[in-house]
Amino acid sequence: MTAKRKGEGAEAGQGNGNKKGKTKENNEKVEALVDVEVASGGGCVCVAAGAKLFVLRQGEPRWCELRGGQGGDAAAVKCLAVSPCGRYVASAGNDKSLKVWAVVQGEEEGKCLWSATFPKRVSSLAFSADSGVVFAGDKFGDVRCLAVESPRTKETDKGTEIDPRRVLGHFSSIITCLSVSPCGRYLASGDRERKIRVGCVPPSPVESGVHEIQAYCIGHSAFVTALCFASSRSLISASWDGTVKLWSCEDGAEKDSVHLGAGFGVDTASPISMALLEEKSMVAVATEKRGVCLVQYSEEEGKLKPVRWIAPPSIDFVPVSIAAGARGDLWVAGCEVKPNHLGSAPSERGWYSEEELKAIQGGGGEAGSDPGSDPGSVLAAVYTLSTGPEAKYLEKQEGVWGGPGAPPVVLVENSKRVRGLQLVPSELHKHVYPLSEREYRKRHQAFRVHGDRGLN
Amino acid sequence: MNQNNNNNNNNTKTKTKTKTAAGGGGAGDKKRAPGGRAEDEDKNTAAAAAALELEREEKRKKMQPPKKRLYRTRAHSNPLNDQSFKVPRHPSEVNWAEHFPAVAKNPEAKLEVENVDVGCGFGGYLLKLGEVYPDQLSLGLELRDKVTEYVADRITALRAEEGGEGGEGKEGCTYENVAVLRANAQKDLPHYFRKGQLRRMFFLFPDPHFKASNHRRRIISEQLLDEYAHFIRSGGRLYTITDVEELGAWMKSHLDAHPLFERVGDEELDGGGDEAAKFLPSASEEAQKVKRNEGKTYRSVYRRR
Repeated sequence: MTAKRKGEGAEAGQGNGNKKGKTKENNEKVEALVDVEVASGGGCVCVAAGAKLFVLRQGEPRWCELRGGQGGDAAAVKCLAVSPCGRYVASAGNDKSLKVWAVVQGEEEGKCLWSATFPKRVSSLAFSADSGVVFAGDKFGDVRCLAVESPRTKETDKGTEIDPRRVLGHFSSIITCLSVSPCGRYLASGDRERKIRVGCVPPSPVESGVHEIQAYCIGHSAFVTALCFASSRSLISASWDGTVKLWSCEDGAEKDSVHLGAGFGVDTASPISMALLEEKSMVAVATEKRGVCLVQYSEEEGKLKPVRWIAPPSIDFVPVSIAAGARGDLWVAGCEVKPNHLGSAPSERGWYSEEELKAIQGGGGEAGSDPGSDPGSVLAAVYTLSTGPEAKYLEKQEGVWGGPGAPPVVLVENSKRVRGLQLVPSELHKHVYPLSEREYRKRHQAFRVHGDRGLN
Repeated sequence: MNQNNNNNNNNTKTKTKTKTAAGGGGAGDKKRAPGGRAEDEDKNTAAAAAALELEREEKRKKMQPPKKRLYRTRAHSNPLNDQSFKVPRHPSEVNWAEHFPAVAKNPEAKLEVENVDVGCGFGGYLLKLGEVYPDQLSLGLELRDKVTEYVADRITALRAEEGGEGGEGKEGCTYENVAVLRANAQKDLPHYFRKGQLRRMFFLFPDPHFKASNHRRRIISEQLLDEYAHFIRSGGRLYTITDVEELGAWMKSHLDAHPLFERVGDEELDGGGDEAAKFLPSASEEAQKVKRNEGKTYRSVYRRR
């Protein structure tokens, strides 16, 4: 349901560019944004698929669904965070809301503690090191924060509302990722403008804000997609430009940078999600349509080294989000495209080739089979991974969606109209117009109305 | 054909004459031949003399201060746009020697910008900075391409003028310590400067952005002040001035509320201790416009804690 709404939204977004142009056909295929997220902390793992939230508590065999009072019409969850203590889950949806859930056993089990409405859509979340405060970065570049136990409120016409306080801001850029250092002193925020800002968090950020900047980490050439602190002194960042970088967070110096593809014969691999495996001194990076890569880091030497790619369990699985489990394992959430148009065994290399990608991405389209008879769907899927020397995908988590027999969550119902899977929101990409077009767009109304035809 | 050429020549002559008559021209009133014609003459005269003449010609051309009307531009540029110009990847990749060639040749001088005029406009205050602080490097940042071009040409002209003979420049000032860059200061400051590098930052007569929905485009805001505080060294100063009362109050309230800045009192500024503050209401083009219209200005200067 949500996925379908999403598809329509994407189409409307495309249409906005040339409102009166009517150049787009009504049945144009669109890219469907895949909404799957996984997050972990304190032994607790949480998965969001579409508008649904599922949580696996430490030491428990069964997943349980987090249900709010709002019923089934909640918007798709865009980002997710689990507190370091493992007691809270924060989720932010497409409807500009931020919800904090209690996952502890007892009275408040699985309940929504509070829900706040933000002025802009939340694009990233992080808990403070002591789990007392949740930071939320939004689409307009502001990071706001709220105390988990007792969020600040204000009186409005409609009654008492939760009032998130702005603690810092990037100038009109989308905050793509947030991370708090293990010591709790630094808050790193990455944005669409390639910057990473490391701010000094005062003891009470809700009152005093995060005004002092420790350093800027400058060096990426595309938007930053994921951040994690290797320790309180080092920061690892992944960016859409295909690199993973290691920074010293005290002075913002770039210690090392690696291209994920280099050395493995992969030309481009754009990271979309990253998880830290502290015991193994490794980060696992999920890349767009290329699978998962393990990167070893050494803080003393300031070095990064890509170790291996993990072969996907089946050709139709596309990893989207990754999180570290409690016992050095990994959780990967992604989507499966059904039916599989390629039908062959998964590649042993560990990443997808261009042809395989096409087949996966094709959905009901170009892959050769008749799209009319075979609509196809995109389903959410969760796997666990081992990270040892023979790192591989372990079993698929069948019980996530409410028991072994329960059907998985459908993200895109009918992929007949889906051109491809979009794993990163399109608003993050920069629109680069050629000079001539830019000038015309500026000066010629005709161009705006009729597109290229207006010029003649 | 020849006649045509002559005509052209005559035209340029009269043009230069009117220019000097208007008082704006810094170059002498000697005839200015177009480049093509100068080359024709080369064949007849001795090569060396011609080369010398050509060189002088070039110099004279350079010394001509640019005309504002040739750099017509829109009054505003959207700071939220994805920029179409190149931004350095890292502060270390900025080639400062290109902007300050004479300073770069001097091994004793420090090649580090210390004063930044954000939104320098047509550069009036920036040049004043060069005069007031001869041993510090001053940089103007401007987003509009044509205006940046104008200021760059103006600086080139002033540098070519030796000792400021008859031009607009101040006597004894070579303007080697000022430069201008096209940059979006709201987005890209971290790509140009390092932490604590700047002594002074100037925000003179910024765009008021009256509409509430455009307030986030204002150059002084809670978020951006964090950034400015990062680049200004402890004890450095941030100067703002505007002729819009509403914006003046906005800037004052935001700066007052910021924990990393403290207000510098009027007594201290007017007491003569601060050279830069003295020229705030008079040096820039905008300031002169306000002065002509006898408008009121609102000045606030803050010190980085």
